[in-house]
Amino acid sequence: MKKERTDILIIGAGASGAASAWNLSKLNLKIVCIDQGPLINKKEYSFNNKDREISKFKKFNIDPNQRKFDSDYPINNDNSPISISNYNAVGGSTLIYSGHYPRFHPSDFKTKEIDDIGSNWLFNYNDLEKYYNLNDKMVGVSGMAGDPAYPRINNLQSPLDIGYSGSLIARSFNKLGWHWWPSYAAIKKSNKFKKGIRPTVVETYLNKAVKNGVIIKPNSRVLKIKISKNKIATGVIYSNKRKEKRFLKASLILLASSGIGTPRILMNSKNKDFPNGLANNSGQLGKNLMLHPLGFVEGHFNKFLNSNEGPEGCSIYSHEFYETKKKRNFKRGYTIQLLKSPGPIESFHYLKKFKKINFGKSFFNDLFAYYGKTIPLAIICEDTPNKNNFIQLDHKNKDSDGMPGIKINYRLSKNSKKMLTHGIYHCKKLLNIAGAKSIKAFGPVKNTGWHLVGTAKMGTNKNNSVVNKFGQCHDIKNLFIIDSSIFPSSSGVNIASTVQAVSLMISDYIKKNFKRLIARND
Amino acid sequence: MTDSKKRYIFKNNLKNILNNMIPGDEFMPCFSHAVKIETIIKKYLKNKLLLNLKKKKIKIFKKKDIEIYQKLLGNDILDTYFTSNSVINSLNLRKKYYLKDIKKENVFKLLKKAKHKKQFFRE
Ligand SMILES: Cc1cc2nc3c(=O)[nH]c(=O)nc-3n(C[C@H](O)[C@H](O)[C@H](O)COP(=O)(O)OP(=O)(O)OC[C@H]3O[C@@H](n4cnc5c(N)ncnc54)[C@H](O)[C@@H]3O)c2cc1C
Repeated sequence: MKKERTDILIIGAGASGAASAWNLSKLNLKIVCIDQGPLINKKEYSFNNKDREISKFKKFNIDPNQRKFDSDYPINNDNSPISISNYNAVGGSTLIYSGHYPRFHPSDFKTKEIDDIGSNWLFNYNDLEKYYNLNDKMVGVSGMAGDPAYPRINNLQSPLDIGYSGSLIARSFNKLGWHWWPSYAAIKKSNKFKKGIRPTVVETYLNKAVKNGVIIKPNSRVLKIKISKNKIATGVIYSNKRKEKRFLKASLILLASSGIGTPRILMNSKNKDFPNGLANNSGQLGKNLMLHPLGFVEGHFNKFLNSNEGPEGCSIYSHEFYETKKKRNFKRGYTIQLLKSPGPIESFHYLKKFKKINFGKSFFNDLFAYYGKTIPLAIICEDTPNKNNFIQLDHKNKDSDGMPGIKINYRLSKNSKKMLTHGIYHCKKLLNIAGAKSIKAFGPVKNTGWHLVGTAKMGTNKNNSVVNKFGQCHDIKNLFIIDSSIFPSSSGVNIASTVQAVSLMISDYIKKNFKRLIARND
Repeated sequence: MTDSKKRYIFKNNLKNILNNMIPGDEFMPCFSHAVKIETIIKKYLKNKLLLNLKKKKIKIFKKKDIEIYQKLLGNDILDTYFTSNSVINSLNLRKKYYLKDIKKENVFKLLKKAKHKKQFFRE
């Protein structure tokens, strides 16, 4: 087997891997960032492409089981009401993400302490704030300062237009006296494009990292991490585009392969010393999977509201029901997000499913009865850790390199179900006030497992967790996890901003301690 | 019949079918006004299920006829139509027309009327 060598190896070139690749690139070291997926031309994944509505069901389909590219791995969702979405390429899931970009609340870092549910983090909002700010600067976050739901956030770029539907729903929030605020977005306002310009981590971090000397290795899937007798990671076995197996020796390894991909690699790296998966003496690897159960409530209006235009993710949101309140029958809470309604092609397929459209004379009547006249709301529920929600290797379904896929075992907790019911009730109330002529609601929505959290949790010791507060594996000192696998709780907001802030924080620690960290290898 | 004659008949039949499927309205163009049939004909010419379109001029009378051809032509037709520049422009014109009378308040004004003024997150 051909051998190569690097000082630092980052596995995964998505949201978390890219941020650390850039941060560490200032060290004078050899750094390789490896990804199982290809490097895709920017022109192909732009949200402003004319064919975006089509490509999101083809090349940029959010479901890896439908894409079935060589770079994907099978995910068996049979035992879960929510299925996993991701993208496997350089840039990771940011190639398809919507770019809604909120931070966690301070309370999200200590849910056990203040609400007696879930797990506490080993650092708090204040510790992370510096990295949130740095990340906002790198990514270019738009929004409006002064949101009462958060500590003050400065240096935001001008907020995106909330549109006609945003304006209507904001008025309804005001009538009900509920909190709302224009969305934070990793999207730049643009006069040319109504959706704004949404960069991916390729533009915000990776290109800069490459300029500083980082080597990106696309089409290279890590199959196993190897360790020495004294339990030090020595490197990885990976398979390249030609399906040749290589050994890449590394002094320090950072796992950034997502809340599903990271535990998958660790599980597949089991050996004599770690028969239940690498770095898994605690038995916590793969457990506590959290997914943010999502409720969907759609109001149908008589008037055309142009709701099909605007940011891909969310134009305004509410944290009225975010924090625990004694009078409610559940703990913690949720975000209400105002989404964009579907474009003409997606509207057609949706109507077709319900036999509400036909080609022929009535085609445009049928289409325009729906297109631009609906307001969709999403309810993003905070999920809490539970050891019975876990992932495991699926040896029956393998990827193009023969590496086992993943099986998801997940149930909604009673707390989540009550939260979802509460959210649906209140969103209906909101849409009624706004004047909807009919309302449709359901949840949890199947294809919404896009926030993958908790499967290699952070904790105080090697008996209760996989990593310490710096993402360092308790069992293997030169192995770090820098993605959302390590989050002990999920929050009730989208996670990418926090994923990247945490990645920057851990890589800062590595920068300061690199010599000491690799000295242990000898 | 010569190949060019067959092609001619095929093209006219295809145009007729597509314009019956997407006939246009006060804002939206019919299919052949948005997409040049010539640019898509190649894709369908060799489709064995559409062989009869080369033989003689067909007539479309019923909804059922449209459904049959819709299945044969597939959803790509819709993708081609809605990504054409002319349809994108028509949708924009339509949008402007229907938004004329709709109120859109300034976001700052709306926020002034919001209930929560003081920070309410938990430390
Ligand atoms: C449809 C969708 C919409 C979303 N919208 C939002 C949003 O609006 N706001 C928000 O905050 N979040 C959103 N997210 C979530 C957000 O994209 C993720 O939380 C974030 O990208 C996670 O970062 P990550 O680095 O952990 O994983 P990813 O960004 O997914 O990157 C992981 C990378 O690791 C690589 N990898 C995995 N296994 C291996 C292996 N064995 N060898 C080599 N490489 C490997 C993968 O190919 C991939 O490129 C969305 C996600 C999806 C799917």
